[in-house]
Amino acid sequence: MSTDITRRGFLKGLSVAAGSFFISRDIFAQGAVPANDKINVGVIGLGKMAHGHIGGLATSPQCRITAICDVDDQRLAYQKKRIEDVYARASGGKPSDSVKTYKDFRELLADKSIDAVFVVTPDHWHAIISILAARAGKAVYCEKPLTFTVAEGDAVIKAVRENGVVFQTGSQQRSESSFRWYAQVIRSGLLGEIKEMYCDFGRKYPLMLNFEEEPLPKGMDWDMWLGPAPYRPYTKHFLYPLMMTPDEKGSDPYRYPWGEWRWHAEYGSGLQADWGAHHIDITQWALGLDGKGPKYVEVFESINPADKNDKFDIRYIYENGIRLNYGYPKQLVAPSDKQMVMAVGKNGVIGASRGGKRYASDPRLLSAKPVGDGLNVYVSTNHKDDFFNAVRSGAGTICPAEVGVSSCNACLIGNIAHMLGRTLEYDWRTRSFKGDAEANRYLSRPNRGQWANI
Amino acid sequence: MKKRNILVLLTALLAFGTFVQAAYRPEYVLTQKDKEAIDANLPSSAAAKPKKARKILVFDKTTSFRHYEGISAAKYLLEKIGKDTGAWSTVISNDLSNFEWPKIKEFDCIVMNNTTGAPFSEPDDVLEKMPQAERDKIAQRNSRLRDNLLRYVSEGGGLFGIHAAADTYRIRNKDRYEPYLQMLGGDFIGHPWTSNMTEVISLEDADSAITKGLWKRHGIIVNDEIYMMGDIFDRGKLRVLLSLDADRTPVKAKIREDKDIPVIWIKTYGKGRVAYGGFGHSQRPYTKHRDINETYMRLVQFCCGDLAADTSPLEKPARLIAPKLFDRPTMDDVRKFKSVGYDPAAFVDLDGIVFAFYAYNDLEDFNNEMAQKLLNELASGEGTARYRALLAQLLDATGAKVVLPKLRSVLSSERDAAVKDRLAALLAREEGKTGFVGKVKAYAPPKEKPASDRDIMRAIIYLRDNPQAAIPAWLGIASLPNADMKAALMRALTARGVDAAEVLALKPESAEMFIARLEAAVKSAKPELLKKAFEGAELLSSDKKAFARAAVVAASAKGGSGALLDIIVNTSGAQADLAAEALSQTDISNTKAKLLSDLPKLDPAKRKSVVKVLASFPDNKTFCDILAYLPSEADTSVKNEIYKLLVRCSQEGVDPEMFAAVEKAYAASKNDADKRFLLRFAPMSSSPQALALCAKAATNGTVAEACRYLGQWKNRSAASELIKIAKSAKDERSKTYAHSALENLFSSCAPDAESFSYAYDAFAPGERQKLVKIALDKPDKAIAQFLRDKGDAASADAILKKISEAKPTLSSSANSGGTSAALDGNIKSRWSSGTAIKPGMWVMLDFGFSRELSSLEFDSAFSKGDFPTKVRILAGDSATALVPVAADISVADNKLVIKFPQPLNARCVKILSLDDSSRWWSIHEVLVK
Repeated sequence: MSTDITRRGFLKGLSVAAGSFFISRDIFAQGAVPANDKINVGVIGLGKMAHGHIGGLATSPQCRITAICDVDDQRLAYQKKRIEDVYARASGGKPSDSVKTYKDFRELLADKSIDAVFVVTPDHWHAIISILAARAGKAVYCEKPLTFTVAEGDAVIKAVRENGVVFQTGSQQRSESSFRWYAQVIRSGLLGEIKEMYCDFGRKYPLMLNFEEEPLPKGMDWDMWLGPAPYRPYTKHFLYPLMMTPDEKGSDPYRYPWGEWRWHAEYGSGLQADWGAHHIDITQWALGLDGKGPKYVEVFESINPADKNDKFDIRYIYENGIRLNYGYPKQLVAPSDKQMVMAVGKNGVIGASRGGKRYASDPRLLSAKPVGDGLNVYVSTNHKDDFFNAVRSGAGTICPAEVGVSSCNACLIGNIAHMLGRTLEYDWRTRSFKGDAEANRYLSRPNRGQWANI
Repeated sequence: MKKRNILVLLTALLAFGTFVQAAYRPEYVLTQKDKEAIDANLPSSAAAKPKKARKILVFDKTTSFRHYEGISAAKYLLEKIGKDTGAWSTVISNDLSNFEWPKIKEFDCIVMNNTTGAPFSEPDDVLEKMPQAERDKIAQRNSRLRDNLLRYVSEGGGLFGIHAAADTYRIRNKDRYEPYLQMLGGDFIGHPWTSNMTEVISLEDADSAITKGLWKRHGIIVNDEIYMMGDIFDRGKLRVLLSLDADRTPVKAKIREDKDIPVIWIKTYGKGRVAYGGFGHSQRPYTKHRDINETYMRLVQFCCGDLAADTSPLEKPARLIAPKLFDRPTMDDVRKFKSVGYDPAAFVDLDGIVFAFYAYNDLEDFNNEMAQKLLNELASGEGTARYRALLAQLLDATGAKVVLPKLRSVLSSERDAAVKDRLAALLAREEGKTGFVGKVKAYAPPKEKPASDRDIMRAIIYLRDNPQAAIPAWLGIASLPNADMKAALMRALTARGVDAAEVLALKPESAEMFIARLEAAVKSAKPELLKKAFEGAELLSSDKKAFARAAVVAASAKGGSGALLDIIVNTSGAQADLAAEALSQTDISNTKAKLLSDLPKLDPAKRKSVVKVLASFPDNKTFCDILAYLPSEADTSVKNEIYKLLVRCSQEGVDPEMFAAVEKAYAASKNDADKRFLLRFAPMSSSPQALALCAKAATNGTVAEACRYLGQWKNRSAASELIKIAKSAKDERSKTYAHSALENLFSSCAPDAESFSYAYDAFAPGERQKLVKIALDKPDKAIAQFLRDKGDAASADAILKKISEAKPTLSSSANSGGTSAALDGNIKSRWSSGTAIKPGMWVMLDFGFSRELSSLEFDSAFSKGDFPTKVRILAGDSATALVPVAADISVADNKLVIKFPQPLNARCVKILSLDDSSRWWSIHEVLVK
């Protein structure tokens, strides 16, 4: 952070404008795109997250969903009808058989008419599908957390760079005004020297869940769901059947809980990466550390009330001494003012949350103007449109592979330190731990069976 | 470490070595909370039965840096342990006569409790004031007592040095006395970490009588500014029991090359015993770690000669092992899971065994032993499929290095998928495979122009990301089918480091190409190229989205504000609009003066856009500057833009400087509309000057505006002016204006009895009920009396009841408990933040009803200096509607005094700290006027 800015004076850099930092969202909104100019999109993975994405993509003037892929026949049929119905309503015609369905994503990738894919699978699949999509020349929008291991991250970056494709990480908080403001204030130096950063989300490190073995529902390819990850018998907790019969809770077939693979160490990376890929991502963005990472993961004793054998919690320390803690600065901020991400600097405290929520101990910071490095904060007001714009005109994306990987790596090394129960020193340049050969083993996990040599 | 290296390091650490004598500060008094925390962490009994009654001397004289908190806490701790366990009796004294021979021999152990400098001498500032003869005497005393101490120990005494005992007789060319340091065994040279950081402490000798049975908890993380020793420290002469794990502790400054940072050691000196304990920078370690307190007890008993411990040297372990939070797992622990199935209830226990294995996998002997056993168990084929999958996972935790050949054969005969997959992954990893080979035909841009647009685009993006690849001959701007692709090629050229001038030579055909050129110019950081990139801005005009994006890109140009300003002045239409928009995105504080000076030279349309740019930086200065310009502006549309700007600038209030500018502009203005407009700033200021301006306006024919704004006054001072207007009104209309403004005023500011009585008598009888309601909302004793005199005893009683019931309360962001102590009328009791003052910390007074305030005094009494001196004051009628208010802040007699330049009406007042201090915030009493 430039000390020059700090010297220029806190007050001088502040304005008392009611006007916002940036141009409002509506004038960034996309205009109409001619039908023949729409980007053909394939959606891979049709779980709860994709269910939301499809709602936006099907009505976007930018693209047309022409193919979908999932391991479950029921999901394929449901989403095919849903998308075709949306297109029929828009054109005023009858639904046509315009959406192709695949159970093996490799067949979808082989379809030359598809320009871009959305990878919306569980975490252990992200890297392989992204890499194969890049090799097929598709633009890739991949959900966060971007990878399951640090080694996968390197492979994704390499594949994207070597194949001339556009890549966007699905960390859409970067395209929200409140988080952009947060990054701009910090990078402008208006908060002064930064001392502590905070990310507020619940504690759920990856654990060894041991769900019961259940009969596999008809039409599900469990082996494909497992893919590169080690085998375990089917459980609905990891892959719910759609709830096609209405009950008292409603008729949305996706009303089942979030897949619990997220909390299981062999298929997911816990809330640590689930939320961390957002909040730690924003933290590193705000500190100007995109593409880099923490220097230490510090482990300390803290018993999880839900699991007495989960005994450690962590915090991060960056090279410049800045600490990243979980929670919020309780001694400085009232509980009602806490935000998802918060920063404590020499000049005060600021924070931001989803839904445009902002907090600043000095209200003038709420309308401060960016200066210095704050002006270099990439502006995107719509995460998907930012991706489509890059596909059309070769512009960058707000969260390219290098950045998505570095944010995800920060989460993953935290999980390794938590698992090992010891403080680790990490070198983001080599993406390895210093002086701990055992810890370095968990930077990769060789893939299973046919996925072993991607 | 070689001696020469130490010297280099010492020079680098000179900053640490030149502590200045701290200004006088009273001794730290342990809080009840501190004491309770220490009490909760005391050893239950002595480690050894004393051979006879023991007497220790706790000595803490400092002539350099003083660890106030650490000293007070150690005094309390040692005295308390001695008393509770009967292990010793404690003399806490800095009386130097205790070190005279033979008196010193009365003690069984002398504790150097965070002594610094030359504790048998005096601080520099004291010495400076002494005559030479006296100084000589002190110098003699210093060397005499120093040698007494050494003699005492060598003849069989005990010495326990705490923390800064190693910063005693240590500073070169000043007070250094190496025999003392040699006796102690170490010399402080720095702390490459601070007490705000965490330090990982490792146990080196688990079998010592001093540490036995302690330090089992994992990691031993402390926040205590552990000291690093210099070349006096020699492992060959003492026994290190605990050390700092430099590999796992964040380091902020240069650290010894050998990373050898001892924390606790014991040694002998002649016939005597010496111990050093590095903990104790503050009270914190004693309040948190029972192991530290118990260890210190044992060290004192060791020094007294009651607890024998081996002092022979130990080599530094090759790698410091953090103690584990899990017990070391055995195969018996593993076999408990033999019949486990896929059963949700088993998950916590499964985590237990898995995490325990990972916790020990930094121990080679553990890995080797368990890998063998686990593989044998697997080969036996016993247990459920889930159990065997667990065995595979545990094997993975050990690394399986010593069993790889056998693992291959077990894997080849394994049938169960869950086990097989895990073993295969483990084997592959040990063979160095990551799962990603990347063995595919690499993409390269085609030699011939591809048929599909997408393939052309892929080539362009590839070239963007791979500058080393050559651009194929078929690829050029002219050959590309659409403008988006041309923009993409421009971007690729920029990313490849092609000179921006070359990119800008390409003519823009679309908004996206325009932006791509702009990006090239911004990257070049050349103002003249930025100007060139603005050519073609009309391509943006139909596309708002592209316009906005272009503005953001242009705003990020380094040093671009001057160029943008030139574009506004020298161009028109789309270019000037875009430049104005870009400029308004950024901090223009550096170019504002030029904008203002250019203003009169421009035509009205340009003037308007410059004012719009100024509006993006609406501070007090802009307000004053544009007001000075306002009277000379003739164009109505520019004027309206200026009005908007002024309103924006005044959103956070109007300070005296700003109001002076208003008065000047009012006097200079020949235009009634301007004058009427300017009056709106009067209530924002609510100063006596503003009152005078309204009075003047009332007599100049703008009585309606004058009354309207007086009714919006922020304090009750406008009441008398409104009454004056009402009384002197020549017509009924003016009087009505004044009366209704008065009612408005009363509803926001508590009325005084005099104006209230005027209104009560002057208003129509039907209006009286409203006034009584106001009086109830803003209770005032004199008004109650007035109403009683008027015969309304019920209202008067209600008001008095309200006053007697309302109790002010104090709340805080830091420590919400105990705030009543600041309002209990007892100067001895206090509220304290319990944590250091930081920007954003606040306290808030809530009076229960809006009242007038002229000053607040926060008395910190004998908690000297325990308050922020840089604060912002916010006030309002509720805790959620606070606005910044002007206040004069001063400090007098340990009070933070806040005076309001104009009387303030508020129910809640918040004091927000802007200070960053190491002190706590303490309030003994609040005085409200």
